[in-house]
Amino acid sequence: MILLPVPSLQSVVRERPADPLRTVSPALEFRRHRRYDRTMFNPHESRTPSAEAEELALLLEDRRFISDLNMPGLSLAGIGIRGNSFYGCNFASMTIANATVTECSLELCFFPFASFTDVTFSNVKLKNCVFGASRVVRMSFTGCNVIQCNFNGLQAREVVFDDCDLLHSRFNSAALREVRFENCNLKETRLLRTAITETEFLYSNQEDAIFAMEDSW
Amino acid sequence: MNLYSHYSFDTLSNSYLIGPTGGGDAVLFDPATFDVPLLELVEKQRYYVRFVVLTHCDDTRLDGLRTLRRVYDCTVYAAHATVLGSPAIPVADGQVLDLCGKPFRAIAMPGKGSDSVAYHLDGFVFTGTAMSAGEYGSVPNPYAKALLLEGIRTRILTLPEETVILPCHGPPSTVALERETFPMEAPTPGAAFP
Repeated sequence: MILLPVPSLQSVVRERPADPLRTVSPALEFRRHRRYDRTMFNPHESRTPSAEAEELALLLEDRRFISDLNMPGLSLAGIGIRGNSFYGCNFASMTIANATVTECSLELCFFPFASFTDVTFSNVKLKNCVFGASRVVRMSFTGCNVIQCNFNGLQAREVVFDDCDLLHSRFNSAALREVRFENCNLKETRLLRTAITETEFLYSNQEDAIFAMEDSW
Repeated sequence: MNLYSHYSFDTLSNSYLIGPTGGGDAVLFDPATFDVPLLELVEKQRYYVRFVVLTHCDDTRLDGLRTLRRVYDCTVYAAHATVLGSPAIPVADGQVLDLCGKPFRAIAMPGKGSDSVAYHLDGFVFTGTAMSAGEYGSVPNPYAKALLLEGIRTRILTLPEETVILPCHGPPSTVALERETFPMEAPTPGAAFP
């Protein structure tokens, strides 16, 4: 697990030497030059043991479209991401704090068992992403498309979904405390076996969400 | 291997397209619909849908297959030998299909129905309608429920924990996550009818 020693990942990018001949690991060089074309990560692939945060910083700088990253256990703080697209990336058990993600798109990206603290998603398009069993504290989603995402088993406190489309997303077996769904589309959003405490549904189609399934068996 | 997920807003269902980088023959799972976005995805990647694999044979959820067969000369694999009135290659439990050079292992999902089959491909499992994130498929009686849950417990959740679960409906998941959150409360099949 790598903790960035700087307050912002963007500062890492800015402070990176401009020397194109700087030495990077062969694995990193391979990553930088491989073709990124909506390729799904291989769950069995062993992750790069070093330079993960640096790798991500370089990729964010070099490319708008990023796919096939397998970075479980990554730890980031003070990160700011804007305008990038992610596809088929694995960030399982990630720890991320004090971060903003703006105008990005993420599809088939995996964040299970992750920890989010003081993270803001603004105008982000999320589709088929997995946040299950993650611990989320003081997080906000503003103006986001959160289509068919997996929040099952989520432990959420002080989380805001403002002006979000949560079509077909699931919060099964989650624990929601002080969560606010405001002006959200909850069509087919499932909250089965969800522990809901001090949670508000404001100007949202709560009636279209599913809180229980008819199962007489 | 490239894997693409296609979400149909009409049927709220997923199809999965698998093919090599650079184009060629591809495998398509569960075409509930074959709409313009899916066609564009296939064409953009320069794929030819050579194989269609069905995790279930529910005619009402296979409209896309009708369209697909008019466009591509594809071989259909399913639990039944006939799908939508046309022949398919029946798949048995444990059978390994070699499609586009990739081994897809069939996993029968009893309880959901005789037509329900999941497929395991190195790191991914396509569970169809038998199982989705935190939920099991609809069943007609308590015995079927117990049988299905037993199948999920012994055949899906025993896969490596990093395995990605790709269902027909709902978001993806992982085996590790389902071990934590899946509602496994049913009795064993034998105990359903003591």
